[in-house]
Order: sequence, then C-alpha cells, then structure tokens
Amino acid sequence: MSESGLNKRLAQIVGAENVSTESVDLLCYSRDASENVGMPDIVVWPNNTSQVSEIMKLANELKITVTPRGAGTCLSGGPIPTKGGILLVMTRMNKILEIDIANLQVLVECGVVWQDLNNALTPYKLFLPPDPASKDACTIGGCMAECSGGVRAVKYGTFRDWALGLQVVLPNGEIIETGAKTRKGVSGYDLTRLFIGSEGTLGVITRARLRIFPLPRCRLVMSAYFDSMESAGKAIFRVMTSDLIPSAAELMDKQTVEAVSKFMNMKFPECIALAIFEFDGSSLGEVKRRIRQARKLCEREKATRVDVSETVEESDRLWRARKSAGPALATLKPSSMHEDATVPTSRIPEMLTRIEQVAQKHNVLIPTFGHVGDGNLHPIILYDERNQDEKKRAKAATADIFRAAIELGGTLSGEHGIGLSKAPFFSMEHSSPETEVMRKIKNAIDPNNILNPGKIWAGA
Amino acid sequence: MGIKLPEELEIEVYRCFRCGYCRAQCPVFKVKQNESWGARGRMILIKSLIEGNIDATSAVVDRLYCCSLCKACETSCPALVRTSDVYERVRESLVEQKQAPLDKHRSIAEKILAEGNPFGLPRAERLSSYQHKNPSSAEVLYFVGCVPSYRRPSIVRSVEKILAAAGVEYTALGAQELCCGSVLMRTGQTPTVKKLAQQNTKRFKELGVKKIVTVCPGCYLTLKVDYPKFVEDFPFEVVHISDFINQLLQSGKLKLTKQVGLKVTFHDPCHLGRRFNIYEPPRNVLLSIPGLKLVEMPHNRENSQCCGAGGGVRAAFSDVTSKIGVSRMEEAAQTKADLLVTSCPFCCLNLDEAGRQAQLLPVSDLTEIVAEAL
Ligand SMILES: Cc1cc2nc3c(=O)[nH]c(=O)nc-3n(C[C@H](O)[C@H](O)[C@H](O)COP(=O)(O)OP(=O)(O)OC[C@H]3O[C@@H](n4cnc5c(N)ncnc54)[C@H](O)[C@@H]3O)c2cc1C
Ligand code: SF4
Ligand code: SF4
Repeated sequence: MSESGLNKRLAQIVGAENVSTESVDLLCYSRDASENVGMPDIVVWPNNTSQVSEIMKLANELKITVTPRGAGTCLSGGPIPTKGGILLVMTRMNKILEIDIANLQVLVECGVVWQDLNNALTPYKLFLPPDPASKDACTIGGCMAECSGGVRAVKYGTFRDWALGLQVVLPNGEIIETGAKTRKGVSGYDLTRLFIGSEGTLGVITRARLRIFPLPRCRLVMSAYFDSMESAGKAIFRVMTSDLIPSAAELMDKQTVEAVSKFMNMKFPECIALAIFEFDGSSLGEVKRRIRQARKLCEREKATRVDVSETVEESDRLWRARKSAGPALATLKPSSMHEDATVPTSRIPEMLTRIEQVAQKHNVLIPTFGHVGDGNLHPIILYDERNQDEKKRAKAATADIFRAAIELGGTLSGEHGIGLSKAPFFSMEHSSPETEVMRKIKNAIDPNNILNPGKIWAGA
Repeated sequence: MGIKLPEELEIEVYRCFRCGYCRAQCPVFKVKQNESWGARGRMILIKSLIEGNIDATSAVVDRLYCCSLCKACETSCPALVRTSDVYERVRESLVEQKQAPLDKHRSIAEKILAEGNPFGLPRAERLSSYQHKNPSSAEVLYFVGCVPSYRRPSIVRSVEKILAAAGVEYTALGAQELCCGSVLMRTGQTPTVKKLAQQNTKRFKELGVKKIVTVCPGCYLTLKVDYPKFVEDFPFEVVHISDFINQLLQSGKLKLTKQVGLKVTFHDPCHLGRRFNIYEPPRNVLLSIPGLKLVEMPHNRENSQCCGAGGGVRAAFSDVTSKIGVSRMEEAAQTKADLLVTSCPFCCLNLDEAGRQAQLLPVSDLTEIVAEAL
C-alpha cells in the first residue's frame, strides 16, 4: 500500500488529527532518552482500545511494523522505530478509570502519567509504590513494558509486583485481558508477567489494573559518609540484612557527591562514599527507633559522619540531591550513557572496583551512584559525542561494564530494559536455549514480527 | 542551511539529554500533545539545525516560534538546560539568515518603527491615554508601556492615582515614549531593539532620571537585562511596579484603607516570576488590601502556568494562546475566587479575553485593584 493509502486508512481509524507524516514530527519522534535514533514513517495517536485493535489488524494484514511509545523517557532505545513503520503513541489514552479503595486497586489507561496517578491517590492517603525517577513524565504503559523500578524498589519491588492484570492488544488485533481482580490467582499461565518487561514486543498494553498501598505516615532519611567504598559496602550489607527494612538504600561515589554539590549548590562533608537510607512506617517513634539502629550499624562500620533529617523538608532536600545525580554528572560532559547493570547486593563492592578499572582502562569518566540496596547501580559513562575517539572509548567501556556485571552473577539491566542499546550483549547473559524459548514465544504471538522488531536480542 | 550558536549555548543544546521531564510543564505541549511542539522536540530540532541535518523549513520555524519563553521547561529540567536563552538566540540567528521572523512578527516591527507601538496606532494617541506630570526634579520615570497606553488605559489611571497618593514625584515620556522592543527581542529581531534602546535611553538621560518604574514585566526584562547590552552606559535602576508599591507600603508612604471584600487568586507572570523570582512582593501588596482574601492556584510561583501570550505566540498562534489562556482561567475558577489578579498588563489582557470567552471570572492588574483600595 502506498504511504498516502496507509495514511488514509489510519486516519479513518483514529481521525486525521491523530495521524502525522510531517517530517518535523517524524524527527522529534525518532529519539528517546538513549543514544539511539530511528525514524518512523508515520506517527499515530490512538484514543481507545478498539482503535489500537483496528490499527494492529491493519498493520498485521499489510505486514507493517508497529512500535509502541509512551512518553519516550526510555534509556535503552525501546520506543525507537528502527525499521520505520507506524509509531503508536499511547499518551492520549490517559484516563484513570477506577480507584477502588475497598480492594486497594486502580484501573488505568496505559497513557496515564505516573505522577498524575499518584496525585489522584494522595487525597485517599494511598500510593503506587514503584517510583521511577522519571515519574513526572513516564506513562504507566511504559513502566509496565519496562518493568520499571525506583529508589523504593528495595522494599516495595518493581511494577511486576504491583500488577494484577492487563488489557493487551495482540499483534493480530485481538484484545485479551490477563490476570484477575484478586490479589491471588493461579488460573493458568501468568500472562500478566509475560507482558510486563516485554518492552512492547509482544502486545500493546492498553489498560492496567494495579494494586495500591496506604501511604506510610512518616518517612525519615539518614545519610552516612564513609572514607572507603569497602566500609560503605559493609555498612549497607549490615543494614540490608538486619530487620530494619529500609524503604531506600542509595549510594553515591565521590565524583557524584562532588558533582551534585556543585550542581545543587549544597555542601557535603568530605567522603569517598555517601550512603542514603530511608525508613518509613506508621509512627514516628518506631521509624526513629529503626534509624537509631541503622546509625549504630553504620558507625560500627566506621562511618565518618551520620546525619538524620529531622524534617520533611530536609529529607526532600536530600532526595532532590540524590535525584539530581544523573543530571549533575551530565553537566561534566556534553553526552552521557546511563546504565543500570545490576549485581547481587553482596557483590556491590567488587562491582564498584570493576567500574573504576574500566574507567581507567578506557580513559573515560564513569562516576557511579545507584540503588545499592537492590544491587542496581547507575554507572554514568561521560563523553563528548562530537569527539569520535572518545565516543568509541565510551562504547567499549560500556561493554566492559556489562561483562563485569554478568561475571559477578548479575544482569544487564535492573530496570531500563535491553531495548537496542543492550541487544548486542544479550547473549552474554542468556544461553541460546534460553533465547530460543523467548524467540518461540515471540513467534507464537507475533508470527509476522511486526511489533517492535529489532529489540532485546540482536538481529531480531 | 544550519545555524551557529555561541559555544556556551551550543553546549546547552547538547546537555539536553532528552529525558522528557519538561513534557509535564510546557504549556504548548499540553495543548498540542505532540513532541515537536514541546521543549524536548525543539531541542532536537535545534540540534539538527546545528548539525546541518535539516533546513529551517516553515514547519521548523513554526515550532521554534510557538514557544512563549515562559521557562516552565527550565524549572522542571533536571539538567538545568537554559532552554529559553537557546531559543532566543536561535530565533536571532534565523532572522540573521532571513529564515524568520514570522510575517506577523515582521509586521509588528514595521508598526513599531512607524508609530512607536506594536499596534500601529497613531503615535499621538499614546499621550491622550494619560496626563503625565513633568516636574523637572523628578528622579522617577514611569515607563507606561504600549499595552496599558493603547489597550488598558485603566492601568495607567490606576498607576497615576497610586503614585499621587504616595506623593511620588515622577515624570514620563508622553508621546515621546517608544515601545521598549520586548516582543522584537523575543522574536529575534535584535537590531531593531538596539535602535529602540538607543532612542529611549537618550530620552531617559535627557530627563535626568535615576529610577525607571515599569508596569509590564516585558518592559522590565527588556530595560533591565537587554538595554545594557545595547547601549554603552545605562545608569538606571529599573524597578517593577509590584516591588515599588510594596516598598511604598512598607515605608508607610502609601496606605490602603478601603475595604475590598473579594476573594482573589494571583497569576504569576512568567517574566516576573521564573525570570526574576519576584513572587512575594505582589502578594504582599494584595495582602495589604483590607478585606481581601488571597487563594492560590495549584500552579503558583515557580510552578505557575503561563497565560500563553508571551514570546510572540499570541501574535502568530492565537489559537494556541487562547487554549492555554482558557486552561489557566479554568484553574483559577476552581479556586472559587471572585477575581484573578496578575501583575502584567499583557497577561491581564490575554487572560481577561480567555475568561470572557469561557465565561469564567474577571481579571485585573495589580495596579487596578490597589487603586480601588485607596
Ligand atoms: C532521567 C531518567 C530517569 C529515569 N529513572 C528511572 C528509574 O528510576 N527507574 C526506572 O525503572 N526507569 C527509569 N528511567 C527509564 C524510563 O523512564 C522508564 O523505563 C519508563 O517506564 C518509560 O516510560 P515511558 O512512558 O517513557 O515509555 P517509553 O520510553 O515511551 O517506552 C518504553 C518501552 O515501552 C514500550 N511501551 C510504551 N508504552 C507501551 C504500551 N502501552 N504497550 C506496550 N509497550 C509500550 C515501548 O515500545 C518501549 O519499548 C529513567 C529515564 C530517565 C530519562
Ligand atoms: S519556554 Fe515555555 S513554552 Fe517554551 S518550550 Fe519551555 S515550557 Fe514550552
Ligand atoms: S527537561 Fe531538560 S534535559 Fe530533559 S528533555 Fe527537557 S530540556 Fe532536555
């Protein structure tokens, strides 16, 4: 079918105002927050599930590729339409359909923005715990497709742990409902979890039913400074294996602390590592008791200084500092790659050493921070994309970091997904029979390989 | 043809790491729901222009001009990218290459050059909208601005009443006042602004004033930040009227005695708030009015939502402006306020129109409500 013929058919489905082939639009939809680029042939904004279903039927019939996209905050190239075709932007499906307080769950359309959902829950003193840093922008659909996490994953888990069921449009246009409204359910295969983390390669998620949780009445933050990575690592290990259950356990290395200090104009004590813990609970007394215990554990591991934020403002200030880590580091060089290699928590100190060695070997800056409580580090590889040699070294360093994570028994991605960026390394982590099982699943659901091809494993 | 930015601004473009956080804030994006009309899209387009990968087609130029320079993207930007500085410089560069401005903006420049105001109304009519006093000893110059002069004379009358009540000796330029050039500055037409700056400054000097009080945040920004770049010597203290009135109240020179039993909400103008952090002075003034109750909209102070008119958007994309204006007025209506007050004649004009269109609450400038309380 000619491009204008396709344009017309799509316009019949969603309305002409929800289709664009203007080159400026195509260009602006060719990027996400990663280094990848790929131009769609046509951008389509569906408004409801039946439109998505019609679009998929048409695409399947014509064998045109379709790439789903939420807010495009992905850090691994997932929503980049490498093979052109239709870019399906889900952001206009953004209604919160149900807030079911009695059963502590919500039903939302996939284009709802994380922060909008939580704003709607706050008056009921409820919240959706997994909290990606991109929450002001990212959509629930994107979070499902990437199985996103955040700083509180250490206590509350990732999106996978909060999903009860999904409405999914399959590549052939059929609409299915996975899961159940109940908290428990073992009726058949767990299709919900099959689609979660599938990076838009198996189906288009149109709705999600999610569990929600009572907002903890109080949260306090503690920061502990160390003069060696080793003692920071030990202190974190002690806190994580105690019964104190922090709701966040983060680490920033010296370079990160310095960059944040400059960027946010905040003073921090001299240190090699800064660990930030958050504790939440229903009473201040009880949270304070846990913080006192955690302080003792850190002091026992030779923390040079421990501060407890007494007020919400102080806690917010520290979180703002932590959340500015990526951007603060990004000011050091024009370009950056934000990785999320994850290792078992006990291997964190080794992983930090390996990252340092990689940085030296390739002569690039790789400051590191991250969710140490769950082993999820964010090494930031800094470079100037206008300098070809430095760009090459940065890429080589990234590959070495992945290798190190796998060798330490970890995974390529804790929360950002494989997408395009990590597809060349997929076989480092997965044996060919494993990949073959995944391929077979993909083939069974999407025999024409039209849905987000080229992602997750190389050559797909 | 590509564009060239100074290195310090080119770096800003590369520092945008396309995180998309600005999606939640950009008023134009909220209306269009399309990346190419939001801050991240604009940065992608600018980078492509710098690298010479695209031409400045009319579609590209439209995207780069449909931005009110409200800085909302900057407050949400985790990388603190100076987007609005980049946009202004890009527009200037497009004008230099004769690929911009838009027709509407070019015609505004012509009108300003012909009659000294962006509406192309007769120069002489500027005077008729107020009676200016001219004691030769005055240290204060009241810079009236084009919108009050031609579109909202009640602001001029209110300012006169306030200054008189406080016993401020002041002067004004009368028919000699020229448009400050703010709209031209925002749309990349710098050489014309330079001319206006030189002519206005010459007159300020002839009068021997020390302090210039502006009512319009656009004039404030242009006189305070841009004029010193264009004239060698600009020895004037530029003050916004909200700050000025606040000082008069604090020093006891001005007293507000009349009850104004209204519930009002305050709209922070972008050029005053996010640009200069002037958030509290207008609020202090409002709270000095007996009987008045102030309620805040959810988007206030640094999170304020733009009225949609600035940066040349109202002239060239009136449909976008009107949608943004209505959404702001809807937010105001939800506070159940009787009146929306702002401290910018241009916001005032635009929101008033949006309020009428959607049959929502009325709109006043800060000076108007203060004059009522005298
Ligand atoms: C500064 C920054 C900080 C970040 N912090 C975190 C963090 O703390 N934790 C974290 O986990 N991630 C983080 N991310 C990554 C990213 O924000 C998340 O992966 C997010 O969930 C993506 O949501 P999105 O709506 O932007 O999806 P997109 O980026 O548009 O898409 C992501 C993937 O999901 C697919 N997809 C999108 N919508 C659908 C749908 N409806 N149906 C099927 N497939 C779909 C796309 O095809 C793509 O493969 C961060 C990103 C940035 C830029
Ligand atoms: S300055 Fe305002 S209108 Fe312009 S891109 Fe930023 S948020 Fe959007
Ligand atoms: S918030 Fe800043 S860095 Fe992020 S996309 Fe917008 S301008 Fe770029």
